[in-house]
Amino acid sequence: MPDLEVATRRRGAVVVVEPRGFINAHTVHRFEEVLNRLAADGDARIVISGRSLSYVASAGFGAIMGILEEVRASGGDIRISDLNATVAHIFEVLGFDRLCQTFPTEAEAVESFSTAEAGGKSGDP
Amino acid sequence: MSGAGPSGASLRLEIPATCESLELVHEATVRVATTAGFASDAAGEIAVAVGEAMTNVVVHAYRREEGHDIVVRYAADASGLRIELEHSGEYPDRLPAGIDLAKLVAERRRGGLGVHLMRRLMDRVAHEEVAPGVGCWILERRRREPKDADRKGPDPSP
Repeated sequence: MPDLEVATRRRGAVVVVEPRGFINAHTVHRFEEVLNRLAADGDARIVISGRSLSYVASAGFGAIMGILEEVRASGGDIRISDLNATVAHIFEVLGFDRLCQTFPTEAEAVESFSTAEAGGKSGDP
Repeated sequence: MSGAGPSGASLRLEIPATCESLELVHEATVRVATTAGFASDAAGEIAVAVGEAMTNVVVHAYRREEGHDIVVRYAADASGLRIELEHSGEYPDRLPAGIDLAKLVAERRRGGLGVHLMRRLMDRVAHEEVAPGVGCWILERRRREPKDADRKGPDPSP
């Protein structure tokens, strides 16, 4: 597996971002490029799938932190799915579980945007 | 925590202080930690913490300048695992206190999490001047029983 590839796919109005490999200070620029491009293009409903992630260092969480406000200001949100045990634990100890909603599966994370819209909820967790 | 005893193990790496070296150190740390008896999830967390210390050296101590090395030393014994990362770059007078995640997000900051993450994943995190002009990150993780429960808990801060 290469150090990091970042795949994206559309599921309705939601863009799923799937980093494959690991995110650290060496690879984070590829992840940031994708997130920045989505934000610049107005794609504000983003699911980050951790299905193919082996680990994430603080640089990866910093990349999410850096655009979260911009995405929410556009009426969207960043939601997370499919984290492995190590990444989920780091997510939790950093306090990101209070910042971003997490879901067991990509489908549930994508569906949550429709649910929130139908219920008139904001994107905040 | 003492150094490696008769039943312990030790390893020393001297590698270029670059971001390209981060994955090598991550893999070495996972291998050392699992060999020392830590569960795979805990070994992964220790490796992330060591990567944060190394990133701090590359980015802050050496300001991403090429041509510098870093020495990583591992010592395992019955009480746990100690990792030292020695460098001759700049180093802080004191480590930052806790973080305010909401504030960092509001300010659209992309950094500031590394030391906090190290502290949350390890039992001891320190930076010391070990000789004139030589700084050293010291990270320790104690064993817990049973092995699968050797994971640290969530951040208790609000």
